[in-house]
Amino acid sequence: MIIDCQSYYSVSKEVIARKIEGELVIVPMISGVGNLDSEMYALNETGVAIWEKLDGKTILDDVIHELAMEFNSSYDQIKKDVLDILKELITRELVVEK
Amino acid sequence: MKNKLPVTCSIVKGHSVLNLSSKSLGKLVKDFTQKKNKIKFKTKGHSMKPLIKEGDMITISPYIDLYPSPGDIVAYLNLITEKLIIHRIMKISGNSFIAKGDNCFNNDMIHGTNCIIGYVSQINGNSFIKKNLISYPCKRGLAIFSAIGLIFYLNKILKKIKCLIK
Repeated sequence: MIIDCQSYYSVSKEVIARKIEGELVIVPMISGVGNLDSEMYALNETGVAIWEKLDGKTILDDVIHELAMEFNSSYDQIKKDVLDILKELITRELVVEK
Repeated sequence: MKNKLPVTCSIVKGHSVLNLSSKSLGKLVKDFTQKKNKIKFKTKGHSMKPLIKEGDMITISPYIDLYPSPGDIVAYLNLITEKLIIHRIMKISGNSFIAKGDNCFNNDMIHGTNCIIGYVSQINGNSFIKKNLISYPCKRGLAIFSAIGLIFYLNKILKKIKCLIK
């Protein structure tokens, strides 16, 4: 899967996400029905930082820059982490390219 | 300044809902029904036996063009504990209602109808599927049976008979 850093990504409208006990619980919907016993995902605090920036209005490259500044880390390291998680989220249709 | 980014995307499947507290589950269910979506999950507890047994998969639907009425099995959030409760409506008067578990002896405390977040529209048990529960013609009768404790005592008798058979 190729992820373009100049593209916009946003959270799918077919998911419900809620912060529960320090984690973000994400439940995808199939035809308007969420099934807590078949698929449920959890992101930790830093995963949430990425999730919240995927607003569909900021290009991915800017998201990575923002996170690198926030987390005081190198752009390349953050980029690797972001791309890894983004691939996972896109594969599971939790995030879509705009 | 935050720490270095340790990103993990953990994938939870299967019995994950059992790890959620009743309060968290309630909030999640509310998120779904508020957006007019349905949600299904496996139940915990025995208060709605024999209709709903522990581990049965239930679907909670939002009230759209429908209003809660006696006999409906509703999902509501307890005013004090904020826990998710799935019980049958016994009585509605004005903006408040009284619910009760079929397998419970006492009624729940009075709640406002605004605490109701949806109704049980389907039950998938081990050997059966019950659909369109809201339009069951006998639901008011079941509410009366439940209110007078008939279902509660029937459950007790059935339990004793099962013990005797064993």
